[in-house]
Amino acid sequence: MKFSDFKHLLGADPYSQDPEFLRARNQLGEFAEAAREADDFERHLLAAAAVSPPESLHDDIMRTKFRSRSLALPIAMAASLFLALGALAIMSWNQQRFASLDEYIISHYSHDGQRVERVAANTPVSLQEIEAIMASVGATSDPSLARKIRFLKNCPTPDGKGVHMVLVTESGPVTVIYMPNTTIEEEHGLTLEGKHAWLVALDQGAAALIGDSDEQLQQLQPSIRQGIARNETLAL
Amino acid sequence: MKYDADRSKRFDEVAGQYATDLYRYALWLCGQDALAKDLVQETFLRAWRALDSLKNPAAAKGWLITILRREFARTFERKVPKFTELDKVMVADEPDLGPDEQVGRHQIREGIMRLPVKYREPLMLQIVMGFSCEEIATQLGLTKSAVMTQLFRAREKLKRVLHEDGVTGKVYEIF
Repeated sequence: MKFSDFKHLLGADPYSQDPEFLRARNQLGEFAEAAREADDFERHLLAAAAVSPPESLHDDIMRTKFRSRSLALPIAMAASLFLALGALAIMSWNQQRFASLDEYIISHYSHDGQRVERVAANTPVSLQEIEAIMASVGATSDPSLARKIRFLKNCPTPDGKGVHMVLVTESGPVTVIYMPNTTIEEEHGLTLEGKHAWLVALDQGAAALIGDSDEQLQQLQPSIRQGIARNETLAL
Repeated sequence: MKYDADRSKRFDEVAGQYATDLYRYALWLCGQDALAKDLVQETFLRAWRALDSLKNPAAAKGWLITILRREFARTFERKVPKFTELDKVMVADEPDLGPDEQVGRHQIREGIMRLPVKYREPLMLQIVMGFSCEEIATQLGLTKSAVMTQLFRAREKLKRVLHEDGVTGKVYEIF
């Protein structure tokens, strides 16, 4: 390979895998010197171009999955509709009796779980709303948990009013049904069609977590255990 | 409608693999961190919506860059400021470098940003995104020969800029 062609290729494509170019790289004399200079410059060029990305970049990109511009209904109207339906559901559900807590959770999720998840994907929740609904059952959520909440509403539970939440995780939404007055003897999994669910005991009360995988639920459990606290002075 | 966990997983894999490089490329296009972040988010929003059209995972990198470049041309190009804010982005990036090395890196970065877009863009596609000359030619709608000329001139201009900044002798001696 001619030296002028070699230098041109070093300047245009130092990463070239052309066999003749690679052989020329290994030649002694001016070829080796030119290759060394070019590689040295390239190292500094690569290092300069490799700017550190912002820490929030990955999280911001994950949140793009929950943005949409194509809803037929305004988001606020859809959220209000579900709150209203939730109120009606409380009245009708209070008349029902379930053979077990598991049956209640399965029935509850089948009733509106996936519909709420779909709306929740596009609905941000204000901290004020989170505080108000949690306070209505005498509870609080810490800021770390609150940041994950994309929808919440009051819901009926066998032991009184509870909170139905949808949280965002890296692997998709997770529904949490918080039952502040329920005590369980043993944490266990539930069988829901197409979903994974776990019933966990909290310091006070219990919560059902419903998601796409056990791994997803296991990762979220610490946030739920640490993030929900009961405060009797808040109970209405 | 059941949440599509597979689709979400495919998106997460693509985003995890290419987000950082896309941000770097966007930053070198825009010269401004906030604009680059917006451009990358818009790119991934469009990618999420059109994910089903990506049939071959191996084509994800080129597909994402195509989306980004179109979005840049459509919306962001007119927002690129006259003066860059690279210093704000990059000041915190060099904790382990000595003073001379920091100066040298700053000079190269200034030099990159001073390159005309027709040289900067193919250079960043090559060194940030890792595209071959053939792939760059496809992205930019040029011949391979034209791309190689642009890349050669980009590096030569960069070396000249560094010399004009007061660096004497060979470039690598400043480090």
